[in-house]
Amino acid sequence: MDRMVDTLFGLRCQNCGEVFMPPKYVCTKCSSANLERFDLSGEGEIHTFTTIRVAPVEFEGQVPYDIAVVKLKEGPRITARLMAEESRKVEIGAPVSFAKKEENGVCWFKLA
Amino acid sequence: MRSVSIIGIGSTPFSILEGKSLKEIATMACVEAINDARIAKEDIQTFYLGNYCSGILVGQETIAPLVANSVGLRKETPCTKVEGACCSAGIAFRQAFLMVAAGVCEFALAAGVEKMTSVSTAKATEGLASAMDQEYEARTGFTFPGFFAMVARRHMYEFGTTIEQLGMVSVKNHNNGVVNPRARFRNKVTLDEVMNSRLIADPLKLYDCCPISDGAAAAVLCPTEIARQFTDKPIEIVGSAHTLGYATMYEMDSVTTILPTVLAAKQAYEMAGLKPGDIDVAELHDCFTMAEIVDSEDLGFFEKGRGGPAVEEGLTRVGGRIASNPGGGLLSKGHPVGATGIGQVYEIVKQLRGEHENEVRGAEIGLAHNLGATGQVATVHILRRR
Repeated sequence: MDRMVDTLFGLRCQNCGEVFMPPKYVCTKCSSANLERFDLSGEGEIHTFTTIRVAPVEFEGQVPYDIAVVKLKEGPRITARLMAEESRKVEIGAPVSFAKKEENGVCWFKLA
Repeated sequence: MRSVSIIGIGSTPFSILEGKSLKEIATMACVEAINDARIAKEDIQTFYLGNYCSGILVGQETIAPLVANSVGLRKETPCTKVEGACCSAGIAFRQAFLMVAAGVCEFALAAGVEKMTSVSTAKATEGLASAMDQEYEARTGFTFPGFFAMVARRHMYEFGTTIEQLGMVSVKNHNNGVVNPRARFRNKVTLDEVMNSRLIADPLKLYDCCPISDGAAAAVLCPTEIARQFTDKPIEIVGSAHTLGYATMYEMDSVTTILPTVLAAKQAYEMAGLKPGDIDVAELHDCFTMAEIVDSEDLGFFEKGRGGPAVEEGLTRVGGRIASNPGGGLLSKGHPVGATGIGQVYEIVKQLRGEHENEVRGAEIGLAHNLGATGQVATVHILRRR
């Protein structure tokens, strides 16, 4: 699975059509391993969010930082980081768009 | 399956047990439970030990045989560590229950243990975060307080739950912990103190979060038909369930419902032939104030969205409609992760024996609800005085 590309994609089961966010190895509905990437628009809204102020060791240098569950236009949700922006208020329902993906696969969104 | 009862319980304080090792505290809880059951340690035929991450926190693995040898169990005894994050002891208790219920053995020992305070908060937070999916969600810098903070934000949005109602859970549970000698915090806190404590993961503050703690708890189980030979107050396990939830937050159908709790409660009520309104006292998994409110809804004590107002109306206090966490809960009593599930059973058994320091008068039926990780696993046990 190529996580290095700077696009947001989901996985669609070629057998039953079920849609997932990666990583996923088999379809949890029909067990088919035939999952194929499809591009997502990157548009969505904030489903819920928080600001982490006490972090695990490797994230201690980053606090405070925002994490959100983003509901994508195409249906699936994704846990993601929010870009730090002073100008807009983060709230449930606020529109967001895909900003970048780290090498380790972590997705970042920004307020649209 | 035959009926099973609890005939012995043991517990260390849930606290900072400085200078005491994981092996020592687990041993002391087990020996106390065996002595309480008035049986010999040689009578134990199977041993399940709940623990979450002793490898990360104290560098010690293979702890079931370690503790069994420290207690002096017979070499014929199968010893098994079980792990389900914060639900580890709930699962250990259920496995011991199943072995007796199935007739595989007569006397089973279940215990749980965690030693957490010998490492830094950041290291402990890292250990806790290892329960999350390391292939994606954990990489975002997600934390347990972060999970329940996001549950809280959404619960507030959908149902109008207030930050004050969350704070009232902390005030209530600290108040309950004052008289519990096993509790880590034995001081009252005011709503102002809760509201003014520092933010951990917005909107959750320090007093919305349970404290990292050391502790161990244990229980001895046997068939109900012989239980009265050992105790005047056997406590029957009338309902037992263990279920699976989602492994990640983004895959949850609803982030304001912890599905494994709903499923385990349904199974346990059906097995017991009881309904939520029959429960007199509950120890439920309040790792965060938000969790107790969600638990109280998912266990059927209140309608979805009514958990917050219920706290405000005093329905969850001792003397209220459903006394919730009279032992102080995780918030006041402490949360030695792998010990908590049996710590809850210990508190309920004391209540049903009429021996609890913060007694729910006349309680006959109690419920223990243990939740693991970000809602990945849950157990529900319903206990009844016989």
